Amino acid sequence: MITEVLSQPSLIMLVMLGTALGIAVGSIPGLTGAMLISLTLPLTFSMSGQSALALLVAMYVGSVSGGLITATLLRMPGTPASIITTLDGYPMANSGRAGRALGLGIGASFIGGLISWVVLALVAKPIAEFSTVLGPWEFFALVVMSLVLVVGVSGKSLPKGLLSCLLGILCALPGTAPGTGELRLTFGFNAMDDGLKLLPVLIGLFALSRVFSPPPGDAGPVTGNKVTGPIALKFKEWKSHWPNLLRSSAIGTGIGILPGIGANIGSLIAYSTSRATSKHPERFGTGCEDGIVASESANNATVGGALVPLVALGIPGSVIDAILLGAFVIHGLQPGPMLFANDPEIVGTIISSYLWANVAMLVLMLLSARWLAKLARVRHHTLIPIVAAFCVLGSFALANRYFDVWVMIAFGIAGFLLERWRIPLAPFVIGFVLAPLGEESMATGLMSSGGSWLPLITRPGALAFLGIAALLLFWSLRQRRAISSTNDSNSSA
Amino acid sequence: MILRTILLGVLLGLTTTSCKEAEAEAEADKANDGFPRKPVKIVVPFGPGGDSDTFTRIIQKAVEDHDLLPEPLVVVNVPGAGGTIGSRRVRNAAPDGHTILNLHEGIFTSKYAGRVTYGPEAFRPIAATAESNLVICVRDDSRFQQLDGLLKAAAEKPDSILFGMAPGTPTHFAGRRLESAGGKARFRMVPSGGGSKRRHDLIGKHIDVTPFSLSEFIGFEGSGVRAIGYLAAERHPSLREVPTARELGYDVVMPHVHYWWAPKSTPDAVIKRIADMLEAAIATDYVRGKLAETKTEPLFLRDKELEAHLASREGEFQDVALVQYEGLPDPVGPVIVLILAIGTWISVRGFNNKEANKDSPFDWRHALLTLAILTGYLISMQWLNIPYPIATMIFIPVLAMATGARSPGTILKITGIGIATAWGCFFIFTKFLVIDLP
Repeated sequence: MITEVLSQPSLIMLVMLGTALGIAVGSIPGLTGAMLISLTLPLTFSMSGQSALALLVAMYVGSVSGGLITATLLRMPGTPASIITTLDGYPMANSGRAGRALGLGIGASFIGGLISWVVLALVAKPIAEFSTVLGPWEFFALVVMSLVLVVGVSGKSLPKGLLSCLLGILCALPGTAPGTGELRLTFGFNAMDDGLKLLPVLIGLFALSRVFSPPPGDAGPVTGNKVTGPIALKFKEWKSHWPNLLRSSAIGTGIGILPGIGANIGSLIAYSTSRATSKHPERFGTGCEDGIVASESANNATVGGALVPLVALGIPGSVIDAILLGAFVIHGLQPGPMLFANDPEIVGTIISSYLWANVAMLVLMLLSARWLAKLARVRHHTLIPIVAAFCVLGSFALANRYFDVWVMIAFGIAGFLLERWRIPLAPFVIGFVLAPLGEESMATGLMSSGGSWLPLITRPGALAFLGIAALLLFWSLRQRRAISSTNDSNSSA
Repeated sequence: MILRTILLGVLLGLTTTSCKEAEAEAEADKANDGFPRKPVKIVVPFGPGGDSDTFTRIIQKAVEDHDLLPEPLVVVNVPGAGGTIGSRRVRNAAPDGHTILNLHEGIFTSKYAGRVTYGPEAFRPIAATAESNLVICVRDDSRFQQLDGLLKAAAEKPDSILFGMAPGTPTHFAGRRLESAGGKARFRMVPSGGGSKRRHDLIGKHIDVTPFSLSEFIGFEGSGVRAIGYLAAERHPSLREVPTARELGYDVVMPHVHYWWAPKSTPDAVIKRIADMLEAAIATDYVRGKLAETKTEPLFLRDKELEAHLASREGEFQDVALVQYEGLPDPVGPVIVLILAIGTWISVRGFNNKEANKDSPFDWRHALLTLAILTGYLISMQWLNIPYPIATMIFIPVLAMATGARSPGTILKITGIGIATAWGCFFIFTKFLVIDLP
C-alpha cells in the first residue's frame, strides 16, 4: 500500500501530473475538483484501471489542497473546501504574515493527509473482509443510512436537501428495474433502456452548469497580498500545533468516512471544535494560526477517510468518490466488498497514490505558492468554451452516442437551476448513485425472504445501521444551526 | 541441427500460409466489390474490460499481427441494458460488413427475458467462437456433496434453497433448467448479481448455491467455494473430479459461446470473408494460448454447423419460464408523490418568505444564448454531419464571444486556442483512444 506507485515510473508521473492539475484547478475560483475529475475520466478510457485511478486520486488530493492559496492571499476560496481557511488565513496575510499562513496551511494539509492515509491503510482491508457478513438487508440499511446522513447534513434547509435527494433517486429509476428486469420510465426511447449514465449526469451538474452561469462582472483589481518571508516552517515550529493537528485530522477522517459528506463540512466541524476547546476562542477569525491548521488538516483528512467506504464497500464517501465509483465501472472493476479480493493491485494503487499525491502536493505547493495566486485571474471567457467543448466530448466518448450528450446538457440546465434555487447538489448525486444499490439490495432481500420485510429489524447488522441513521439524523438536526450559519455552498468537494 | 530444421519448417509454413492467404484475399476482394473498403467496426455491447471486450481485443490483436485483413479492426464499446443498446445499433447499420457485432447468448436471453422483441433471427450469423461452461457451486461447508442431493432436497422441500443468479442471464436460465430436469425441484431464485457479487453472497451465507463460469470458478478456488456439477457435455480436464449434470441424469448443458453477427442482408461473400478471418485468427497460437489461460475451448463453427448449433441453442432458452417474484414494491410512484409534495411545500414557503425573492436580478439571456449555441453545435454534428474538428473550431470562439470576449485581440487568441483544441482532441481521441468521433 506504499510502494505500488513507486514501482512504475508512469504511475509516478501520473500522480505528479494529477496533483499539479488538481492544485491548479483548486486555486481557480469557479473550477472545482468534481469538474476536473469528471472531465478527465473520459480521457482515461484507454488507460489501465490502475493508471486511471492513480491519476484521479491525485487530482482529488490536489484539488482539495489548491484552494488554500487564493483563500489566504485573496480571500477567494478556490474550492468550497477552503471557505473556512479564509476566516483566519486572510487576516493573517493582511497583517504581513502571508508566508507563514501559507506554510501553516500547506503543512497542515500534508499532515492531515498523512494521518488519514494511515487510517485508510489500516482499516479498509479489515472492513472489506468483515463485509461478507453483510447481506442484502444490511446493504439496504447502509444505503438508507447514507441517504439520511447526506440529507441531514447538506444545505441550509432540510426540505431542500430531501427534495434534492429524491430528485437524484428519481433520475436513477429509468431503465431496467433491478428486481424484475422490466423496463420502466423509458418513454419509448430505446436509448433509455439502460437509464441515465453517471458520467453525463455528473459532467452536466458540475461542469456544464458553470457554462450557463453569467460571466462575472469585472470586480476591479483584486486586492491581493504579496508573499513575504519563508513559507516552509521548521519542524520545531509545529510543536504547539500537534494536539490541534491530531484532533482536526481525526475529525476530518471521521467525517470523510461518513458517506456523502465532503471536505467543506469536515473543515467546518474541525474549526468549530478547535475554537470550542481553545484557551483563546476570541482570537479565531482574526488571523489565528490554530484556525488555519484546523481547517486545512481536516479538509485534506476527509479525502483519505472518504476513500475507506469506497474501496471497502463500494459506497462513495463524497461527491468526488461517486465519480471514482464511475471510474471503477468504466474500467471493468466491480466496486464493492469483493474489490480487495478480486483486484488487490487496484486497491493498493489507490491507497499508495493517495500517500504519494500528498507528498507531491507538499512539494508542489511549497514551490509554487508564490505565483499560484495569479491563476485566479485567468479570464472566464477563455476557460468556459474549452470546458464546454470537453463536456460534449467526454459525454460522447462514454458510449459513442449522442444520447449521452443530450442527457449531459439536460443535467447542465438542471444543475444550473438547482444552484439558482439554492438546492444542494450533494444529496442529488449520492441519491442518484446509491438508489440502484439500494433497490437491488431491497429486491434481493425480499426475494430471499419470500417477501417479508422482517429481516430489516431481526438481523442485528441491518438494525444497527438503521439505528445509526436515526442517531445521526438527530445529531445533524441539532448541529444544523451551527453549520448553516457559516456554510453556504455544499455543491461540491 | 534439430533447431535449424525446426526453424526452417516454421519459416516454410509461415510463407506458404501467407501466400495462400494473399491469394484467397485477392479472390475474395474480386468477389465482393473490395470489402473491406474502410476500417471494420466490431461493436462490443458491453464495457471495456469485461469478458466479451477482452475476447474481441484478443481476436483484434491476432488479426492485426497476422495481417488477416487489409483494413484495421476497430473495437467500439456500446455498453448498456444487457447488450441490447449495442445489438440494436448493429441491427440498424448498413449491411456491408463494415459494422459487425460480438454478442454471446445474451442475444437469446434478452429476447426470452422480454427485454427486446428480436433475437438471432434479426441478424446474419457469421461464426461461433470459443466455448466455456457453467459450474454449479456451493460453500465448502455445505451439506450438499452432489448435484443429485441438491436437486432431491429442492424437490422434497421446494422454495427453501436459495439459488443466486443474475436475472435474465444464462445463470438464471441454468437454475430454471435444473429445476425442470429435476422434476419437482424448486429453488428460491435470488437476484444476487455478477460473479464476484455472487461469491460474496455465497461465502457470507446469503445464498446456498450459484453457478459460476469455469474461469471465474478457477479464480475463486480455495476461497471457500466448492464445485458440485459441471453443465457441459463432458468433464473438463482441469476439473476431473467434478461430474457433469448429464452423467447424473439431468440433461442440462449451459455453454457460453461468443457469436459474431452482421446486419440481416449482408451479402454471402462478405460473411464468408469475415468468417475466414475469424477462423484464421482462432487458429493462431496467440489466441489459443490466451483461451487456455481462461480454460476456454477454441470452438469454431460456421455455415451449416453454425445454423444447427444456433437452432439447438435457441431451444435451450425458449421454453424456459422465468418466474418472477411478483410482490416487489415499485419505487417510481412513491418517489414522484414525495417530490411533488415537498416541491409544493418549498415553493409555497418561498412565496411567503421574502428572503427567497431577494436574489440579484438575473441574466436569463446569457443562459439561453449559451444553450442555443450548444444545441447548434450538437445539431451541426449529429444531423448536418459536419466533421467534429470543424464544428469545434467554430464553436469555441463563438461561445467565447457570448461569454464576454470583446476585443479583436482576445477573439483572435481564442480562435487560435479553438483550432488547437479541436484538432488536438480529434487527433488524441481518434488515434490514441480509438474513439469514433463524428
